[in-house]
Amino acid sequence: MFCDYVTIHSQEEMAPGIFRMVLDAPEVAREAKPGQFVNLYVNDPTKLLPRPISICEADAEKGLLTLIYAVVGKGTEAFAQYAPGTKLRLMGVLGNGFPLERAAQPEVKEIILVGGGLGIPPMLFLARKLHEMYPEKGIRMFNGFRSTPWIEEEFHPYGEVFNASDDGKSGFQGNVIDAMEYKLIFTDKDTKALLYTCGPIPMMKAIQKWQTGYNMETWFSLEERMGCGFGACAGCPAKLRMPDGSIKKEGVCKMGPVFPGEDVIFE
Amino acid sequence: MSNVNLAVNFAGVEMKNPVVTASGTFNPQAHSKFYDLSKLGGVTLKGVADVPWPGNPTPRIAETYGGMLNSVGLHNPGVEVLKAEDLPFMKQFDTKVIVNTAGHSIAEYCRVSEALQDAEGVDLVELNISCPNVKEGGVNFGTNPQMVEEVVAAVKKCTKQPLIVKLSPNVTNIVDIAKAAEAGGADALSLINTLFGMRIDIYRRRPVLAQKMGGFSGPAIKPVAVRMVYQVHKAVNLPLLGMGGIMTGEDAIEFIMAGATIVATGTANLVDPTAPVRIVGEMEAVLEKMGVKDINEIRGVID
Repeated sequence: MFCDYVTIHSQEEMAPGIFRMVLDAPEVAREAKPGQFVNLYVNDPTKLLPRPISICEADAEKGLLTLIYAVVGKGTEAFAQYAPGTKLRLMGVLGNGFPLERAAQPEVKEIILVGGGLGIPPMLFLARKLHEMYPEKGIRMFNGFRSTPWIEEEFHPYGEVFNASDDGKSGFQGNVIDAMEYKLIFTDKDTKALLYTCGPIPMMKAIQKWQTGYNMETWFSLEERMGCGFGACAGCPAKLRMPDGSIKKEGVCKMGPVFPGEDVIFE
Repeated sequence: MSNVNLAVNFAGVEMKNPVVTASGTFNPQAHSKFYDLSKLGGVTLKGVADVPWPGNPTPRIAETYGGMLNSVGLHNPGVEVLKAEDLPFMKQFDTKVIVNTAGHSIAEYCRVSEALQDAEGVDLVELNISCPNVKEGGVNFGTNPQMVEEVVAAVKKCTKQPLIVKLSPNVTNIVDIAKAAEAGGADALSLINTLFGMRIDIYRRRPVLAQKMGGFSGPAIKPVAVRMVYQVHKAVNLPLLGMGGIMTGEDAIEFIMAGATIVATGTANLVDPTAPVRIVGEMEAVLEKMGVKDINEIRGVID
C-alpha cells in the first residue's frame, strides 16, 4: 500500500471554502477506482490523524489525482494554505469503491448518480468511468447543493445533469429527491434503474425510503469519522442488515465505503 | 549488519527485538499490506472476548493536540473468529503473537483464556483489565487492588501461556495495582492503557464522542507513561511491556531506560502503519551512536 509524500501540483478555491487540490501521485492515480478514497496527513505533528478524502478524478497517464474538499476544521484549514510544490503525506488507495460492473446487467437501462454536497466530487470519476464502460446506457446525474452550484460542467459529457438547491439558486428548489421525482416520473417503471449515491446521511436515508416504489438497485457511499482509514482501529463501523436478518457492523474504511443501499441501517 | 543486540527475553519468550504493536491499534491483515510483520519482536491482536461484542456508537474517534480519543468499546468478533482467521494468518510470519483478552466478569475472562489454551500460535496472553470504554469489567477490575489480585489469580489458573496484565493509568497509585497483579500471579505487566479523556465541540455544545468520554492516547501522554513504567519497575520484579505515545526510537529507549523490557507502539500504528519497523531501525542507530552494544544493558538504568 502506498504511504509516502506526494507533491501538490495545483490548488484552487472553487467556491468559498471549497478547494480543488491536484496531486502528483502516479502510483495512486494508476490504481484508483471511483468511490475509493485517500488519507491526507497534515504537515503538523500535533495533528496526527488522517483526513480521508474521496477521489474526484484520477488521470493515470499524467499521474495526477484530483481531490475536492471543504474547509471544515483545523486540518483542512491547513491544507487550504498549502501552495503548489508543497509535499504532504498520502496513503492510498483505500476502500473498495463503487461496483461498476453492476451496470452490465442487461435489464439495467438507466444509471442514476446522486451526489449531495461534498458527496458530489466522487460522482465525477464514477460518471466518466461508467460512460466509458457502458456508453449505450443513459446516465442521469442529480447533484444537490445548499445554494449556488460549485461544480457542473465537468459532468456534462457523461449524461444529463440536474441540480437541486435548498434556495433554488440553480435548478430545482428543493432536494435531489424532489428533482428525481419530477424527472423520473415519465420513466418506465418496469425497467431496472441502478442508483449510486454519495452525500449527507439524511439524503441517503431519504433515498433509501424513496426508492422502495421503484425497480431500483442502490449503492450508498458512506461517510464516518475515521481513526486510521485502513481497517486497524475499529473506529468507523457501518451498521448493516444481512440477508438472514442479522445485524452486522463492518468498517466503513475497509469493507466500504460503498455498501448495498438496502443493507444500510441509518440511526 | 548492525553491532547492536536488540534481542530480549520477555517472560520466558525470546523476541528478536523489543518492539511489538499495542492491542486495538493493529490488524494483521491490514498492517501486513504495509510491511513484513516478521520484522517485529511481536504483535498484539485486538482485545477479544468469549463472544462477539458490538462496541459503542459512533463517532468513536476524535483528534486531540498531539493525540487522539477513542471510544471503540472493545468491538470484537469473539475468540472463535480470532482462532479461525487471525491466528492462522499470523502463522506465515516469524514473530511472537500476544492475544489481548476482554471480559465483563472473571468467568468471561477465563472463558477466553480457556479457548486459547489449545490454540496454536499464541505466545502470550494479555489480560485487559484497563479499558476505559466498557461499563462493566474492563477498567472496573483494574482500579481496585483487591479486585486486581482476585481477577489475575483466577485468570492465571485458566491461562496456559505466560500472562501479561495490562494496567490502567486512571488510578491514584499505579504501584499498588502493579503489586496486586504481581501477587495475583501475573508473569508480566503492560502499561499504560489509555488515559480517560473528553473533548467538547463548543459550537454544537456537545461532546465529540458519542460515548462522551474515551481513551486518550498518542505522543501527548508519553511523559505519564514513562513515569508509571519507572515507578512500577522500581516496585515489582516482573518484566514490563512499556507503551504510551511512542513515535520514535528515542521514545522507545526512554521506556527501556525507565525499566521496560519490551515496548509497544499504539497510536503510531494508526498514523503511520510502518512506525514500529522504523522504530526498530531507529533504536539500533541510536544505541550504536551511544556506544551501547546490547539493549539489555540499558534496561532500568535510571536510579
